Amino acid sequence: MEAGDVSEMDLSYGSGSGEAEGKGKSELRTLLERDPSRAETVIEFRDVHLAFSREREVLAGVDLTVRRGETKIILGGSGEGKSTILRLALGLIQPTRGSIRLFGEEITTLDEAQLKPIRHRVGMVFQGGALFDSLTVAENVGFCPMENHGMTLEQAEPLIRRRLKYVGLSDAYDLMPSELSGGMAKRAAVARAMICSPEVLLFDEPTTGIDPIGVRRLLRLINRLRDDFEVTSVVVTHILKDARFIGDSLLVLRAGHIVFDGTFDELMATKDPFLRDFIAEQEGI
Amino acid sequence: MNTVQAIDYSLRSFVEESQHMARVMFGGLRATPHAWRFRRQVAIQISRLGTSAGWVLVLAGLFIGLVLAMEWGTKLEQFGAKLLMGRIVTIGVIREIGPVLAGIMVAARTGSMVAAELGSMKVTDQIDALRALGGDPMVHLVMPRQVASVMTLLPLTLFCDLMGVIGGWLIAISLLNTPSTFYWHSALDSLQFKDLAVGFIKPIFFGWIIASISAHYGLYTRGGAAGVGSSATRAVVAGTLTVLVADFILGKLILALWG
Repeated sequence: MEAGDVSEMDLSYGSGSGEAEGKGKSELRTLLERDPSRAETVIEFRDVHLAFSREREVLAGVDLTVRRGETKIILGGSGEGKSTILRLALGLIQPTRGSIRLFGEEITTLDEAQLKPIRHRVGMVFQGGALFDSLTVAENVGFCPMENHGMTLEQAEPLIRRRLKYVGLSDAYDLMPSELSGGMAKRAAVARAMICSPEVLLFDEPTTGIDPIGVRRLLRLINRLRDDFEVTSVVVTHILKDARFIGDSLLVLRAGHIVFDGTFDELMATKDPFLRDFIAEQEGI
Repeated sequence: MNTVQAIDYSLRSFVEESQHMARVMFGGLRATPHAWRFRRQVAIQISRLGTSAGWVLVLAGLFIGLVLAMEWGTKLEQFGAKLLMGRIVTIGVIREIGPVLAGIMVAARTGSMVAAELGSMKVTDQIDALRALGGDPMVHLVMPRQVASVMTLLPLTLFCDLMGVIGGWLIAISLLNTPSTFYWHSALDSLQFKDLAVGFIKPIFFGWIIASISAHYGLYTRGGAAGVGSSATRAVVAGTLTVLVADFILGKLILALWG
């Protein structure tokens, strides 16, 4: 894509105005619901281990598959390695051993330069938003087109404004990240992650530290992204209620192992004592 | 953990950290051709580094010159050689004291600032966000600081040298009753091109080393707010010591090549 070619970018990811909302289920969603195994695999972990020291293995043989169009939830308590999975999926850290495939390509053997085009197809929303302190909201949101497509801020402005409008931050264009509330910062981070039309979005604890209204708004936004743009999402959270609102399937992590991988109905029907306790704790029983 | 495991762990950590340091030093250097594209960031860094260390260096240079002239002046006077004072102060300040003092001051003042800033970005996931968005921390963060550090340290050293020589002159005319013209003749006549060259080669290396060390500790930060504080402290200690070690190595190298 040439610098300033905003229209092509628009075509690849819709106008971002939310017009597609309410248009009904897409073919991909229908396929996912009927026979998930037929949908293309976009992220695949096979026997992934990660240890930061000899004593502490964060992930101990994780297997997971994320299919196109799906919203996969990774659930678990603090320090169980949930966020680590997202970092591994993006190649930000390397596993001790095991295989990670993104869009069918093994990424554990790639260097930073080789990872760049693959990362371009994935957007990530970090836990605290991770907006760049020294840049305005507009410069943050426009970072991807400016960095990867050689666009200037002026050239990217229409696109940035559209994305900010989509996440409900039309008035935040010139603000600094320090002037945003927690919820606004998260939504700005969503706008930044989605501006280059990624096929996959990774959300790290998107609702942590936000007031209940902000949480609802953000969860709706994640659902809208799936419905409007058929984005594949992986959402890390420790809140079952949030997971249920947005997820198609979920896996539960405990001490670096996946102890459950299935649908919500299957989770609710489980007899596993740990999972029963986990559900009871989440539901305040 | 037994002793063997502890040694193994320490060695691994040392190797890992050394590799990271080398990546930062040369990664930033390799990104220097992009400096014009990042001129705004370079300018911001120059303004921050310059203002944070400028006045401190002016004062430090002045007082070093005063002390140097006072000590040497009194000793030289005993041998009737106080007219050599201008030469000794000027060469000492320009070749050695000015660059080292400027290096240490910049390492102390701005080294901590750079390490804390990048460390804070690291613990708030901004570095990972940069990589995830296709940016390279070496190009966006390290290179502008290296370029700014080199570009700032050169004029700062010049100011420091100037203030040191002026400090010597003040002592010469006030305490030692040396005529002003004698001091300046002695100071400037003895000065050779190679003295100036040595005085200005060192800050280039020091600037690069200080920025690299600070950036390394910042980007290598682990463990939240406490880690940021620890990185800033380590950057100052390592930066200051490295300036002294590099001064010795460069001095030896220059003496061997130039005499």
